[in-house]
Amino acid sequence: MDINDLKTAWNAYSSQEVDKHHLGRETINGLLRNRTKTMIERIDRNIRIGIGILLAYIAYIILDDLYLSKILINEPIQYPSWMIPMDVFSNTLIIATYLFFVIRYLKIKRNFSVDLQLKDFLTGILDTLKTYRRMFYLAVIILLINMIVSFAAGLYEGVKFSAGGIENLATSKILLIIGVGLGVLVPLIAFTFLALRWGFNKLYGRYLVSLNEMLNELKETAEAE
Amino acid sequence: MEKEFLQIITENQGIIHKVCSIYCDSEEDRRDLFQEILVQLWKSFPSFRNESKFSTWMYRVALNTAITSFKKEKRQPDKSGIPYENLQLAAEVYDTGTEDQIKMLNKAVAQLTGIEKSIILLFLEDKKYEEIAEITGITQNYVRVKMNRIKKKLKLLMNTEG
Repeated sequence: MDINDLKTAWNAYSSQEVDKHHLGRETINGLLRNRTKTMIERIDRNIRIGIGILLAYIAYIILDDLYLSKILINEPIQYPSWMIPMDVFSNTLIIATYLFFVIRYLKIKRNFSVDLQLKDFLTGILDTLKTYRRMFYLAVIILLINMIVSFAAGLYEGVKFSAGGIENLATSKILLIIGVGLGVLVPLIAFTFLALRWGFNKLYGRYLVSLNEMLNELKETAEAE
Repeated sequence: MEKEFLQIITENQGIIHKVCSIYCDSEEDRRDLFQEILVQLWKSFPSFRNESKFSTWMYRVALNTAITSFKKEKRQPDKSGIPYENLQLAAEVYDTGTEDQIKMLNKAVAQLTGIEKSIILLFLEDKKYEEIAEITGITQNYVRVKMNRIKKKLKLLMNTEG
């Protein structure tokens, strides 16, 4: 059968479908008013929520470092010296990456519209989704760094409280504490990371793959031309 | 603006229904996609500047939305494309030959990628390569290359089904 013959069949079928599903003006108006969020809007909303949460977290870090810890703790805690550069480095990294994402997100939003031509539209939506993925992993990394730093600080303070300082402990005991600490921390961090990654991939992984495939399909045909 | 939009969409809703027909395999998906396209059209309506035909712009928004619509796994029980109940309805209206053609077309189209579906829909709608290129944003040569591949693929699929 010639493909052109199918046009007749398609015309008959599609006309019937259009008649069967024809909606009145009021019904269309109702659909617009009771609309649920589209996929693009959901990604956009998730990015904005992420930006909001990270901004709140950064504000909390700054407040905590400058004011809260001084107000809440009367007796100043002596953190190990290696924790201070680590803390400063991670905070600077978080703030710099955050600013990079916000600027990138605003740039993508400004240039993105659903009525763009297919290739530009796919590129735009992929960029948005990739930005969201980076934002998500940034939040995960912040959470994990926070867990590690808090755990290390807690362990250090615990030893100081019970034994008066790490220098009062025998090497075997220090190694045991480090071993037990890592034994708890590593599975906890691995589980948290894997669970969050699984959740992200479950929601958006297949979608990212399929969009990438579509874009590659367009590029491949353009190259073959 | 809302009144104007509703009027123009009511008159041209056939385009959305046709896009839904080619991309959806259940009534539930069809309803969701119809609404999603409607919302995207409403959001993009202020940016429509009469630089192209309204139908061209409408096809572009509808197809972009359809190929990127995020269907959940549970909504994909089968890949049969056009719902079976619709085929039965069609059988009441068409002769057996047409019905067979629709069934074959349906099964073959279901095997195409999102982009291929958009091109074959525009081809079946008798759009010229020039307009297909304008809607999809790819060059006419590119559309020709792609269309030839789709035709070969469809022939092969339909011969296998037949």
